[in-house]
Amino acid sequence: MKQITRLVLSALTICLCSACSTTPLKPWERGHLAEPTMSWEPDPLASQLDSHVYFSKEASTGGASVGGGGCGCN
Amino acid sequence: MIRSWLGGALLLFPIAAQAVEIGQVAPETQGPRLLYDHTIDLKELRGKTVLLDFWASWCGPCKQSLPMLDEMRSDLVAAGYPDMFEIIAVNLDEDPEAAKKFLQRYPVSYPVISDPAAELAVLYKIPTMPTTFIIDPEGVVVWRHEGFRPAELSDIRRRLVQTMNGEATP
Repeated sequence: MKQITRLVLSALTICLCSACSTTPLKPWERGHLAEPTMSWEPDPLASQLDSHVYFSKEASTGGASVGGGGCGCN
Repeated sequence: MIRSWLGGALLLFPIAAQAVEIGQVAPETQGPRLLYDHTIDLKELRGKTVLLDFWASWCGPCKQSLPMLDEMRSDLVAAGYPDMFEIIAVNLDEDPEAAKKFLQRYPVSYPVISDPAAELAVLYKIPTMPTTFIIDPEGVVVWRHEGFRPAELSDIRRRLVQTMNGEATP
C-alpha cells in the first residue's frame, strides 16, 4: 500500500513538473514576437478597408479594434 | 511523507533570477564593437561614469531612447563633462545586420557592443527592453532604469550628472 502511495505521488510530481515545462521568453528573445507577421493585422491598409466595410454594415464605428500584443516592451 | 513530498516539489520550482542589484560591482563587460573591428571592455573605462544601455532594433521604445541618449551625450559634452562619462550601448539583436540597419537610420556617436548570443544580457539579468544601468567610476552599479519614455530622460540625465559629481550613492 505504501509503495502504491509512493508511486502515485511520484507520478503526480512528474505531472505537476511537466506543467511548468514551458519556460517564459527572456526580454531579449522577444524579437520574433515583434515581427510584423506576428501582429493581428499585418497589412494596415487592408485592415482599414475591412474595418470601413464592417463599420458601414454594422453602424459600429470604432467598435472592432484590438489593442496591444507584440514584443512586450514598455 | 506528504511533508517531504511537498518540500521536494517546492525545490523543483526555479527561483526567479533578479537583475544586477544596485551597489553590486558591474559584471565583466566586453564585446565586439558593432561597425568596427575592435573590442570594448568596461574595465578600460574605470575612472569614468558609464551609462550602459541594453537595446534591440525590434524594441519600440529603443527607437526613441537611442537618439535621445545621443542628444543627451552631446549636451553633456558641451556642458563640460567630456572626459567624465561614456555611454555604451549593448545590442541584443540575434542578427547584427538588423542592428546595423537600425544604426544607419538612427546613428549614434557612442560605441555599441554587439551581443547576439545575449551573454551580457544573461550576465546582467536584464528584466525588460530597454534596460539602462549607471555604473560609477569605481565600477559599481549605482542605478538601474527599466523601459524608456521620453519624459524619463531628465531623470536619467540627473542621475548621470549626480554620479559624475560623486553625489550618487548606491
